[in-house]
Amino acid sequence: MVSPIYLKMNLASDIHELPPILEINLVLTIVFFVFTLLLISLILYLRVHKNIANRRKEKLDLLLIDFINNYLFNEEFNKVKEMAVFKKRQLKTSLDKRVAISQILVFAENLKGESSAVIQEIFLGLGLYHFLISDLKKNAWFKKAKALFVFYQLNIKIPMSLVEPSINSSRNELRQQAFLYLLHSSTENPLGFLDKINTPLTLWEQIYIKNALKSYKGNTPDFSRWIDHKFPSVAIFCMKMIADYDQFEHIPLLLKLLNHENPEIRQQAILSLRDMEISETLEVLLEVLIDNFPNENIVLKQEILKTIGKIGLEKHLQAVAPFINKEDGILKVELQRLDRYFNPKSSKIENTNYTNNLQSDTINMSHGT
Amino acid sequence: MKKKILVIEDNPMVVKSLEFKLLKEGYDVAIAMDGRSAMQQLEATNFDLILTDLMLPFISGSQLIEHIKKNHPNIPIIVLSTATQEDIITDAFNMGVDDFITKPFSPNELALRVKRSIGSFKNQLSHK
Amino acid sequence: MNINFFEIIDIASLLFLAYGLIILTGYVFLAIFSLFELRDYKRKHNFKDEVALLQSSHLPKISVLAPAYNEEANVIENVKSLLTLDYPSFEIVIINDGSSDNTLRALVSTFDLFLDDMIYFNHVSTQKVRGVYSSRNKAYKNLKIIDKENGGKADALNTGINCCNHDIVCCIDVDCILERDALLKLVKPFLNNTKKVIASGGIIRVANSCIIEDGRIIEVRLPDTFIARAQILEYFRAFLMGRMAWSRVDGLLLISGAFGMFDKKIVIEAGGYNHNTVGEDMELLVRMRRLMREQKIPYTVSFVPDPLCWTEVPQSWKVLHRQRNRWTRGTIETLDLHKKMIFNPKYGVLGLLSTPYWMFFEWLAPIIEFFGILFLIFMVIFGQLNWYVFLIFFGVIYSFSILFSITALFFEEFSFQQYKKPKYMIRLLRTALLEPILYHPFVMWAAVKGNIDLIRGKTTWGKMTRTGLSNPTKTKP
Repeated sequence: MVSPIYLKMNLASDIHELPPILEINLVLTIVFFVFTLLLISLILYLRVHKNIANRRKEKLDLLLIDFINNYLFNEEFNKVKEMAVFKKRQLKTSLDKRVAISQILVFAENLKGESSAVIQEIFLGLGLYHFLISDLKKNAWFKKAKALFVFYQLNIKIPMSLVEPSINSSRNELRQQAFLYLLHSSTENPLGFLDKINTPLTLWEQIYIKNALKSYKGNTPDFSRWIDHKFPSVAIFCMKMIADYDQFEHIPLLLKLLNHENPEIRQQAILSLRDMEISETLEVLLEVLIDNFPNENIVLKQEILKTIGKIGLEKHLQAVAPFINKEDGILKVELQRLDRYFNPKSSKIENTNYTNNLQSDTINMSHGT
Repeated sequence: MKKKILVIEDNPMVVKSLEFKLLKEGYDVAIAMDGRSAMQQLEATNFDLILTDLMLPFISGSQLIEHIKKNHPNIPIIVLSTATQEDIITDAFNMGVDDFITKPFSPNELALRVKRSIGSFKNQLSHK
Repeated sequence: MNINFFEIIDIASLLFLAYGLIILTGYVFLAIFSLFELRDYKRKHNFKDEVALLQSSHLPKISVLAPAYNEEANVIENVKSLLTLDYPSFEIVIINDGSSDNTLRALVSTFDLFLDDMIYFNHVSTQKVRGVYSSRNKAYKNLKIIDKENGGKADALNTGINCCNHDIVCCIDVDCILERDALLKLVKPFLNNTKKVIASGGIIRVANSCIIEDGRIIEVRLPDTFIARAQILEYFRAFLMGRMAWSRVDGLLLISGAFGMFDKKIVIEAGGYNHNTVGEDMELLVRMRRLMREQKIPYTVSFVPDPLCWTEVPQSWKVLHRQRNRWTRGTIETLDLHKKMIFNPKYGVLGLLSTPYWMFFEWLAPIIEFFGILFLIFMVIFGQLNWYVFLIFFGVIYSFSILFSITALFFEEFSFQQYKKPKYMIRLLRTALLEPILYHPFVMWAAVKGNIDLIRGKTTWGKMTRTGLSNPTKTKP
């Protein structure tokens, strides 16, 4: 069908005689191949580079572990001299320094007591403080965040002016490290940064703050201070903390918040009061909840039912039952569940599951609704 | 004769530090970086004390403790772990470990506790 | 005759060029966005400090939903592995979708299950539930098995959504292998975001030939078969380049059914999984996004590129064909159900970018390619093919496909580098060279066949016969 002569003829013809489309295609093909080759070399380069870096890291890690152990436990070790030698010989590049920092962090994470101060001494002795301070002065948020992380992990104080701008950084990660640095380095007001923030607290940040508070040495802060914070997330966090730290003196405040205009705050007030389980307030709590029940949204209604199940009695359940609408199948199911909980024997029903097409007639409650 | 301690731990830094410290204190130290290797060493050598982490590759610390309590009931066990939850610590003591040290740990305190546990082992033997 | 021939060639070429240019720009953008997104992700996860989280009681509880259909061979092992996930508080819900084998019996006897007479609300209507089982053994208190009549994957997941206790659900394939911290990594976007997160998805990795012990990947190996390696390249392109980039512009339309996390309330509000489509995973996300958009609530969908979920891909051409055929039908059905969104500025990025992209790249591309090949054959038959022209066209397409695969390989190297041995990289490079000729035409045909089957009204599930994951060296003949 295709004669080889025809093919040859075409191959021989000058590129300029090609239709423009073919010319473009030809050029593109070449461009793609060049890019492919470039990328392959880049992959190879990355692989080799990573391998070299990893090998260096492995080697340096061993040297560091040995050096730090000697420094920590060997009385015959000439600390001043060996430190100078190690710094000069081993910590030449910034990769070396970052490896050293990570290894020092591992030590700090695992050892405490008299060793902590010695680890700090090693960190300073190896000149890593200035290395990280210069990171903090850079623009890269991830370098700043990491530097702050290292400083608070090792308990090293740095000038406040280097931390404060990060409290309201546009990067979550940097903000979080700034909070944690401030919390760790504070002696009197670990949550002082809450007064300065311009963004709500994410749940993630709340978890880390809570965790850091556990190891906070000073007096536990009075969490009620931020309960009227402009961000509901801060108020909610403080309400959680009031319950976690059993700050019973704030129970009246929490009771007041049961009628707050923001439903999320109302919900947290229920949760916190429920978790604190103070017998004197339980009756008041249930009373308010039963009063509020008819006007609450469905989420809060569910929360109230759960609360009754946890701390209430059957009479409380009966008090709210008439306010459950026929359409709210999900509440009916919750009601049913609680009823069975209060009367384990009387209302055992086979295969009870309800569908949302209003099969509410089948609901069978022992005390009748 | 030197007392022999088996250290079971998967973090290389902690292993090295323990080894360093315990050698300094005058013990013989054997190391297992995971549960399997620990099992093998237990069969081959007699140890005077076992220092173990709870979270280990392949065979978990708790499985290991159960095994040791069954087959070598006389070797005292010290657990060295990050666990801060009460129930994990209680569980460990229920399994019969002699001591529980939480990470981060103080190396000097650890040395003291090792000494105490090995001492109690001697007493146990002399009673028999 | 010759003039006529050049006229046809010219028109076809122009069309081809225009289409090619669209694709090229699309891919260049994907590559750039994905590069930024990956770089950011790496920087964000520079701290290995998640111990605090694992002990936190403030993390939301998660329900892991895994439908099982005739999984007797592996279900026990899979469930055991799921139970050892590292997360403070979660439940595992296995939905036995009317299996005809001994799946349920195996579960009941291994985990000491009893029929739990529980009450729950049917948010979404489903096939009849025969019973819900819990374990007498305290060690398995987080395990729940739902036994129901067969209704397909979407129906099974809906049942799980009805019965599960927690507000965040993680839908997985029961036989996929999750890294221990998978839940933690996937839930993080839900917690650390100022916008409401309605879903987050993860990357799917190919488990074929990897060394697996006790439901964990011990060593990552490159599959021995070409067909599986070609799929690795495909997954790199789809996840590391595609989804990563879409996540950057918040235009993600698909969270893989094998591993995704959702806000249960929004799922319910959207109406749950649609059991009338074979692409239920994509359809659900599109519907959820549409709901949020129409209610004007600011929200986002997140994507986590860490290797968290490993699954076995088809090793036989037949099964692969069935899978791709089904994917194509799922895509078309979803696009059809939501055609209102396509090119509709009211839906923002979704309307102007995501849905048109899916239409052109996922649905139409194989069809256009197919007609291209038909045209070629036609010309060969009539002796009108200028081989020189053909070679140039072939060259440009071929070099572009290679470039695209190599870019994806580069992203893997840049990000997570799971195939560490240099020889693996070389084999993947070789696969990239062969894939456009040996593999691509096949999946293209499967996609075209999907179109044909859909028109003919075939909507049954492509059943996937799997080689047991517990025995990775065993391959199907």
